[in-house]
Amino acid sequence: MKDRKPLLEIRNLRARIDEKPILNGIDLVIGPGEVHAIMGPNGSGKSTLANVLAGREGYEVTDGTVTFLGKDLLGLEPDKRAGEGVFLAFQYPVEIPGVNNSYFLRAGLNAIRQYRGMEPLDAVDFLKLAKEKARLLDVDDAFLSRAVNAGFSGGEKKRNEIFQMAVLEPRLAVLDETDSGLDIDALKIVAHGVNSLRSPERGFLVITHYQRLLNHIVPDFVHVLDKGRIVRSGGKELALELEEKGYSWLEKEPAGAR
Amino acid sequence: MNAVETFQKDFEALDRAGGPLQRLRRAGWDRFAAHGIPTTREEAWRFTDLAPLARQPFDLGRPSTNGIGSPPSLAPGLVFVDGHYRKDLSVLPDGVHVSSLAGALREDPRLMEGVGAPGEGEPFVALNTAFLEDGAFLRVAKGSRLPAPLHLLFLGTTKAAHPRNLYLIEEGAEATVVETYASAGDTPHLTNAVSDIRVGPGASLAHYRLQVEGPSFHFGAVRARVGKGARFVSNNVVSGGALTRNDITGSLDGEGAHCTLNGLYVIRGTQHVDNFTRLEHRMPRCESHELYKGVLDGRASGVFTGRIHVFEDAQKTDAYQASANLLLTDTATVDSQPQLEIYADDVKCSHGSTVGQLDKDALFYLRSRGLPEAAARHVLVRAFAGDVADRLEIQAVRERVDRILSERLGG
Repeated sequence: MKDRKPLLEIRNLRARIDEKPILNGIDLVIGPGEVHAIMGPNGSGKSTLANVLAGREGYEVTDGTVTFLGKDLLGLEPDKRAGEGVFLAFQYPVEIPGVNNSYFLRAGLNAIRQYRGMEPLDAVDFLKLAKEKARLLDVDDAFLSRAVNAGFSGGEKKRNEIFQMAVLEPRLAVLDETDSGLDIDALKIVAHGVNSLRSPERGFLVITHYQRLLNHIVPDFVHVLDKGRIVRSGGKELALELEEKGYSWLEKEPAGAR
Repeated sequence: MNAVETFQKDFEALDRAGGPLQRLRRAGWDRFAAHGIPTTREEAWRFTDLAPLARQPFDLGRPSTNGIGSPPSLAPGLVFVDGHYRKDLSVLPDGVHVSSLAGALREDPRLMEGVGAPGEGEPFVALNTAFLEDGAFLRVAKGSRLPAPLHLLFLGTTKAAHPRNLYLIEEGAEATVVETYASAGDTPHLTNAVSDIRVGPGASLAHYRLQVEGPSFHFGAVRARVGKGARFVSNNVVSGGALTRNDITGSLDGEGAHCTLNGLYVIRGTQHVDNFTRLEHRMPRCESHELYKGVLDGRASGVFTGRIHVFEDAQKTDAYQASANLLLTDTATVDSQPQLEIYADDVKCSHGSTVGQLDKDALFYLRSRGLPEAAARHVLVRAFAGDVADRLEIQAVRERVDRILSERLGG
């Protein structure tokens, strides 16, 4: 049996933005190889959770702990979190005109390698790796020579996120509403990419509003987030139940009920 | 003694020597003396306070053979120290008609007549003319092509230097000239350089101006007259100097002339850079493209003025101007102003100006992919400066600019 030490342990996490509490005591443990889905209505705190994990500015953690592979994640700068193996696939990937995708990714990968005490990859080795990952994900090589997300369609941007994830090979990938704005074909491509990266060592936290994505990325666990707390957890069937009932039942059950 | 009194003392000493340039020098001095050091009450100097210069006297640089540390060189080329040609430090390129201006004037004392006179509102060109002695002289004969870029290095020590350069690019000829202004030490000095340029019909000149001096006062004028169907490209890069004022003028004198002005300045601390550009569309069917970018850190301040004057006869003018500035701190400032004067009716003129800060979302995006903050900032600044930097066609210059960006962002 492989080591079951958790990848990520979130204990009583509370966070706010501009004095407004958004996360009100989250507890969540993700083990290696597990895919957890977080669902919930708009404003329930889903994206806040993703951003707090990645270390975005403007979110103030007021209580609780986040431990990643035994280390205090919240004390680390965003780039060090990436170095430790955390990856956030953005809900709104940022366009950076003037920075070539390939340069951007190589700089990121080499910064992470340096953080881990590994030798940097030279341009030739990097290109080989990037092309191999592109092939794996059915992504056009031309991606590499374009500016980062500049002028990309919504689908291309999300595919670029998954492509970056494939190159950076994180231990934990947080997918923040990766399905938003995608048509069914684009969604299938993205889901295929994610599935091809599933492995016994890697954990996923898939944040989504809709059950649809979870038909293609089948989770091991589903959690329902409401008003900054996980109000229900279950297996993949919970997602189907939500699809059927919507989120309106949340209003009727007392918060915190499991 | 203040600065003006020192200039006067040195002018009078030079004037006593007489010679064929005396008349031109006197005209320069009279014009400068009538104007004095500009003040911020003058429209063209509104954002550049020269009071520190007025208080600080610099003696006139004289020809010397003093040792120079290890000059940052783009050799082979001509080296000037305090405005005077240094044969001992120079490596003249083969097969090129290039010399010191002093040498050229000995052969032809009338060389500067008709090209040298300072215009209205050019007090520092006037001052340079008052001290006209030396600089670089290049003549590229009709139909010929300079085989390699001509490198000119101007080093300042502690003195006032007034180098005067003259480039005559004759009909159909092609050349690239790179002027680099640097300091021999880290003491203040004054550079007041003027480059007079004639680009003949169908000729082409790519002109580079790199200012990487220490804590200097730097005034740089480029006065290009561009003939029929000719091309002139000015690349103006500034990272040095305590106070810099550049006046870059492209006068489109012949039909179908083409002028490109690229500018990039990267400054920090309390550095001040004022780029005043003028495009004079005098004839029909001329084109001008202008792109100036600034990256300002610390408490640095920048000024950009882009004047485009379209004369009545200049129908079918196509002029495009853009300036963009990136402020890395809340304490850096920029004043950017386009000035369009259009007297012809069938013209295409556009301009745009932006001032912004680093995109926080982009910074976080890069950091989330593993780049430490300094590296992420560097990537974004390089991307910002990229469209100007990538227009620099000489690899050595491009690399130098990349080094400047790295150094500047390191601290």
